[in-house]
Amino acid sequence: MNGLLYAALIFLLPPLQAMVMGAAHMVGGGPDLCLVAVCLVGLFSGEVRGILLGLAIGMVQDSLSAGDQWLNLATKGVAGLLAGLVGRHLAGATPSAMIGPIAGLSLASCLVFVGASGAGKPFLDMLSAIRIAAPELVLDTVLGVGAYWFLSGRRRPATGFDAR
Amino acid sequence: MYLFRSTPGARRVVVLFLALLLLALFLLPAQTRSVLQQVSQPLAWLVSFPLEGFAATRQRVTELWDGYIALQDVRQDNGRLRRELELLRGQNTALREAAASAQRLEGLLAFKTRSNFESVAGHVIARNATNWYRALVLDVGDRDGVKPEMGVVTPAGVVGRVVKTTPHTSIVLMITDPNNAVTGLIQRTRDEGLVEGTARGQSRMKYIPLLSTVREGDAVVTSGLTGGFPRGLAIGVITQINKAEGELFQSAEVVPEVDFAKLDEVLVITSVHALQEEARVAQSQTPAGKGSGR
Repeated sequence: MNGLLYAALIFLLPPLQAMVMGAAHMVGGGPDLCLVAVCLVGLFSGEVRGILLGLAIGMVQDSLSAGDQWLNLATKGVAGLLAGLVGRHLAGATPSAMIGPIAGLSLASCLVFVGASGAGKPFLDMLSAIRIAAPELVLDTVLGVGAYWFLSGRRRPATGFDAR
Repeated sequence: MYLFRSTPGARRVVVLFLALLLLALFLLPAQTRSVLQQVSQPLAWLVSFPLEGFAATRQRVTELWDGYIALQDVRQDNGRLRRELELLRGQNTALREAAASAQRLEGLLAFKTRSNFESVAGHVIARNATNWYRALVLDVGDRDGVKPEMGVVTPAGVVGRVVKTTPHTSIVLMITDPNNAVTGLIQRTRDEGLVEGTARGQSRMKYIPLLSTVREGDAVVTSGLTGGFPRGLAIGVITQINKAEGELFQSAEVVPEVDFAKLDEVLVITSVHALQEEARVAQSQTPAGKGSGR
């Protein structure tokens, strides 16, 4: 069952993300659904599953993105790892306590993309970067915390014992 | 009943009276009519009450029948007609979309026919999977002969350049992305420059010679120096010129000709020179071509 869920996330979420972007580019930007999913898997299932799913989903997402082939792979992998570590240390945390970690991961991801997409481009000014990052940051956080709230009622976040 | 119990004498009197009355009715119709009318009016008035009652009851029963029982079929018909209407509306929308698509494809085909390069048509199926690049996903890839660095155009002008391919899809970086650059030519002045995307989703032409007489409204086309695009494809229109003090070059803001929000079908330029070469060879093989060759 878990295998099917992960396979669905890996193969269906990046195309869905690309579809969402088709509508979201009209309003300036959309959420990074893949990042949200990786964060949630990391929080609930531990860092190993988080990083594995992050790498896999990032690789598929890179094939649907104009950026370098490593960019989403690395970003999502690290996000899964960090989310797993956060989930281990904040087991059973309330949804409001997850605002900081999820927003932090989204911000870190945005900073990586600002650096990668704007390298050597002096006219990629900070205001434009904020204009792209702000909606993504807000939407990622809202979706992530909302999904965490929904799922935390059904599942208990991973603890040190669970991971073993 | 009273008549049957009365005496025979009285009975005869009554019968005689009625016979005389009938005779009077036949013999004096005009005179008896008014009498009868006067007698019948109060009777009619009395009868009108039950008559109205019956009529009202009948009306209600009819309404009940027509409005509820007989309308059972009408309700079903209404539901069926509504479903048919929805279906026809859907078909109408689909047909309109098909007509619009056919019109666009017709334009694309006409453009492909008159253009001097080989190309493959593709549909835009998605956008870039992150917010950080302005890119499109096309439904044509390696198997269709699409390779990285190939140019992508529409009848309106340049769209961008292929940066990645898979067997069935390809990623096109738009000319409005800061990571993309195409060599451009100002059509009026013939000055060349580099057209790059900006972070705000527009384009900017850099390295325009300082002595160039470029002005707002000038059209910018491809120069043909960048691989992937033949010479003369529309890129955009200059809207603002930036000439800073002490700079060696001037730059200009360019609004792309292509509306990137409404892209559905595009052409990927698979070979820029093939048709030009074929045309040149064909021309050289004709007597006139041979003559001019000498």
